[in-house]
Amino acid sequence: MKDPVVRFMENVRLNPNHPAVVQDTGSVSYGEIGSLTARIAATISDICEKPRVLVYLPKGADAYAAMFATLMAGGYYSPINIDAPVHRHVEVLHQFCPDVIVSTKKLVLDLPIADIESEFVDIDNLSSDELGEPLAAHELAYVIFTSGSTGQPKGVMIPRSGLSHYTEWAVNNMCVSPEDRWSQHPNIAFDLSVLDIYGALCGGATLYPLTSKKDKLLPADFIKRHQLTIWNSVPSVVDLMIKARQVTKENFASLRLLTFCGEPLYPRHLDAIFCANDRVLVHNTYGPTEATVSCTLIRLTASNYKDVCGGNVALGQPIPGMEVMLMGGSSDEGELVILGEQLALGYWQNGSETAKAFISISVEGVDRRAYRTGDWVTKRDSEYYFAGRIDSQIKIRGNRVELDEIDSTILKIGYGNSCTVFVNNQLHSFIQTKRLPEFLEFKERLSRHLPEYEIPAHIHVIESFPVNSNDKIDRLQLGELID
Amino acid sequence: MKGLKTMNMNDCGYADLYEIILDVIEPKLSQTGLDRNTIKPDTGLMDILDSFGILETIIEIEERAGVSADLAQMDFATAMTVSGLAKEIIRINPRE
Repeated sequence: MKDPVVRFMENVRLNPNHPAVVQDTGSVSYGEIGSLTARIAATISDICEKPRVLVYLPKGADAYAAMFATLMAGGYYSPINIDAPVHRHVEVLHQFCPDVIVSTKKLVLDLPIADIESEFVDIDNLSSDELGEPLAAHELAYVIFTSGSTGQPKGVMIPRSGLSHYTEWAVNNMCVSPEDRWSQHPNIAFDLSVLDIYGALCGGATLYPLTSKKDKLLPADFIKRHQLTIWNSVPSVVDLMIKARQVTKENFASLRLLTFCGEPLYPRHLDAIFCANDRVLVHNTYGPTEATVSCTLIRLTASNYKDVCGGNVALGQPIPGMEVMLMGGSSDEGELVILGEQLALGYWQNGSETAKAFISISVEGVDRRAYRTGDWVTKRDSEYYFAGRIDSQIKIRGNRVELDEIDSTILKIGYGNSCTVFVNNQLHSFIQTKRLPEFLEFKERLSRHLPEYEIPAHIHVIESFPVNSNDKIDRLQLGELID
Repeated sequence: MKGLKTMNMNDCGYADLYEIILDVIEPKLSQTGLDRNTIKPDTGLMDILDSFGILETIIEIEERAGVSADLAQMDFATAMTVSGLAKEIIRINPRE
């Protein structure tokens, strides 16, 4: 299994003039991004051994170089979505306590780093020294922080071996080549971006980050403008394209592969895609952050997709090196449990959450490490279909959201006890208070702590919460109160 | 749309279009604490609506005003305010 840094540096050596990243500010060749990577790596490896690095940069070549540089320097990193609320950044910063923050002078002003013992590396002011060869790797590759039910983000620790395994699968399975022009839609703190960054740059392709508001609102226009060959996103983005009437033959003509992950793919998405381009291949993949992006795959074409569409599209079969099993139900349904090389090492400094989610199960008499996904899945004709969650976690545009996190935050900022439900694709918070809070102020205060997609669209006052037979708040009953 | 006025570009000027945009946006604001009176000409659409809300708004404007409101044809920076959207729709729909 080849390490991602080795793959990336091979492309730098073989194709130095080929564009690696095409972004709003211009094109960056493999030679240029390779040199930038080696310069960052030289700087951070001088600071300490096995550096723990916070990548605090916007989506684009600088951020990608900082990630590869950290791995090259034998360290591990945590990427930050700079568009998320600063309060969220601060929580990650305090949990992760990086040795190094790679950023710019302007951006780092947003971070209250006075009480953090981190070295700041200014990406605009690097020395010309380059690190010649990769240093011995740390066990970890990256730590991605996701929504946590206590209101504190949870850091998922992905091993370097898991990233290598996933990258090798992605590059080979997707037949990536220098001819490919690949979208980069998700923000860099969302692990779906790992597929773009490592798949494209380890496969010698050209990466096209979508950064402007217009491109995010009209992504199919972006596909046509850059004649992209590979598109990767959550399925909700296809809904956006459908709504904008942009899933057209003209816009989709250049695509050879669309790959989806992060939330259920529905037959309506495939109907629209194959109507626009009946030669394109669609990969539906499934996997939590804890299994390094994705661990199952089903290949869909215009001629086979209807066979694997239930209410939603089948999740596919495990990729080589990974296994899935059903637990707590029957042979036809249960909680999906994942085993294999891509499993995370656990949650950052959170032994209790790690012990709850990462368990030992006996498979044919052998104890194996497994991850409980919390996803309830049904199995029909050997295919797995997502059926729902067993807890209060939901997905909004592919982003993992713990409803309890929203309620913890509402309580923390002084609005009282609340219970948030997700009905008709919208968040409703029921707050136990006498007077309805002023919505704009509520929204503004909440947005200092939570990302935009976690802000409730509606708030309601409630005297007391309905409870179920276990005396727990009954979210289903609350949901029924909504028209 | 029941009970709603429908126009076409030949009898729809800036003021009419501006009102139509407010009509379309208003129900989407009802549960956010904002109301029609708080919306100003330079209010940013992206500050009050999400991506889906913006696209729904545009589709409804097309239906009610009988015009094309293809965002891909517009100057995006201008079109992302209430008045700017009205101006851009007028620009890409010249009167016959």
